[in-house]
Amino acid sequence: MVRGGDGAGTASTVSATSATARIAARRSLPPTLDALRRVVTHPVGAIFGTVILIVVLLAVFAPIIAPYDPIATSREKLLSPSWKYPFGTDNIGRDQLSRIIWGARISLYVGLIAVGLGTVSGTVLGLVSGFLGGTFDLIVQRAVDGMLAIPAIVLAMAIVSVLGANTANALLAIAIVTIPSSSRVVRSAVLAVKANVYVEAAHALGATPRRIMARHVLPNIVAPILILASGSLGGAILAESGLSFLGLGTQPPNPSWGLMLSTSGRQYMESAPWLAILPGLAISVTVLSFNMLGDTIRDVLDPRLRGSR
Amino acid sequence: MGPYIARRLLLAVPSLLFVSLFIFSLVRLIPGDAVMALVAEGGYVSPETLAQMRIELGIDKPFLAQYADWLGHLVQGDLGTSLWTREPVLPTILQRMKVSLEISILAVSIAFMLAIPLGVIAAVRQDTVIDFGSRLFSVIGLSAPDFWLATILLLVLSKYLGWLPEFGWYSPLTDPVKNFQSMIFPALIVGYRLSAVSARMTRSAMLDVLREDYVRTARAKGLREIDVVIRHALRNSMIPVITIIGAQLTGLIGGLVIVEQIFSLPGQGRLLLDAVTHRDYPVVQGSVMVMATLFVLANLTIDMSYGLLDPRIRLH
Repeated sequence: MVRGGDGAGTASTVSATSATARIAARRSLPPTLDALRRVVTHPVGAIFGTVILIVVLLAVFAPIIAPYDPIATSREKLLSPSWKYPFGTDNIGRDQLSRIIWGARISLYVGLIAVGLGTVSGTVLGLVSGFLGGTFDLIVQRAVDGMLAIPAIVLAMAIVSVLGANTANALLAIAIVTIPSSSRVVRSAVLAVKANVYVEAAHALGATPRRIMARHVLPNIVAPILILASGSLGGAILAESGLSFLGLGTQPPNPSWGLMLSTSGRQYMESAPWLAILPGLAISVTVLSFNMLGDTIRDVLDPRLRGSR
Repeated sequence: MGPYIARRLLLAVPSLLFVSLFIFSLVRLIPGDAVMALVAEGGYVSPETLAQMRIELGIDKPFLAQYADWLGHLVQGDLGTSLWTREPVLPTILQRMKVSLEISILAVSIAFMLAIPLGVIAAVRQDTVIDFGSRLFSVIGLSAPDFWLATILLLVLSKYLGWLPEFGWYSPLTDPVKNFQSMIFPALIVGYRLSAVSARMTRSAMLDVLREDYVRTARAKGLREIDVVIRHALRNSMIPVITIIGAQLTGLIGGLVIVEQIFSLPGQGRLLLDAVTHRDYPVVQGSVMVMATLFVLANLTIDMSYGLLDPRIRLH
């Protein structure tokens, strides 16, 4: 800090002091809040975060926001977009806008819960496997190799073929598909953290493996887990819409974006193209926003990428 | 190279064994049993038929005996008989695989043809409109679902250009023109999705390589820029690009399931979808096993290609 004797010097001292105070205030923020602040103040994070916030609000307040009942049919069939029906109506007279708003609920519900379940299970598996090492790790990793060799959609389809096709089973299938890759990422983070002196110190102090994993390793791998989860959300939403498109996820008459596209969207695409265009646009914008937000979270949390392109 | 391949193949054995155990157990996890689930929607079925179906599925014995039996047949190439078409599973899969393989080869070629020039130009012209356009191309490819892209493509072709592409499959030997017409659009959709990630990876690998000393040396000795980019930079940035294409092969199969359904192509993806819809478990199990094995082999081939791209890499 430069100190001067004149008025201008005093002003610069004051501004420098307030800047220091701001930095100190930022530093005093808990790491999670600080990361959140950096994500929302990042231009890309702010734009796509806002889009996600809108989608979340639409999903949460769907019963209030949607102008019509999403499954109620009417005689006003295949109407093109108008003031009364901004996104038009489908072949059995259902309001397309209301169905898209309610569809956000299913997409977000499946996406968030599947990624949550898959990441938590993958974290536990990766943490234990990486920390314990030895034969247990070897067996688990060969199993993970095997699971990773099955294409995700094929695995999800196989699971749905056994459990039956509905939204809950599609969610479970997507969660199971998420486990192998997330456990692999967590395991490699655990291996890096395990080599630190503080883990060795905890061992020397007689801490149990469970305590070391929970208190010393887990808090230090939160960043890769968050990066992983945020990066998987877009994929999970795509997977739900894909399974529903194939008839293996959400079942009619419930409004799922993928299902809307495969039923009325494709059947009437020439006479009513909006039925094919709008649900796909809803999926694309939501997935794009999650992907971009995931990239921002990675940029913010991964110190190697900070300040790079 | 020989010992390396042998070791990799040996390592793949426990993984594929796990896949077999997993997929075998999955079908046995069905509440009740697979036969009851199968006939649940079909009305009355006589107890004799049920018993016969249980024998066919091999679920009339204890679990381990069932698994040993199934595995024994599996290693001999016998994947059982389809419950739906009553045809042997492996020949059906191999027949369908031809169609999927043709789309895959076309799609991967399209992906390379799109991704590499786009990634290279984006890196050479970093932060220009071209770079922005290339990044937009990747971002859309990563976010837009392939079934939507395929639907929009069909809509544009049929409604606005008045041209409906060929549906169904034609043999490339008897009718190569129609075969190409029916394959090119599905391959474009799958290829575009593949190229989205690869273009991004090519751009970032090229940006790294273009900053290397040997590139500066090449420029300093007066080489034309095109020679610097193609002969010095591109080859050295290919390894991460090939790795990422390999990692995406499983995604490619996901795309196949979708486009084969939309374009009515009788490929492996369509076979699997039909099997899942009809709860044809021997076909589901067989398809998963064949796909996982192919994926393991494809990744081994990719690892072996590193040595060709960069002679410094010797696989031991």
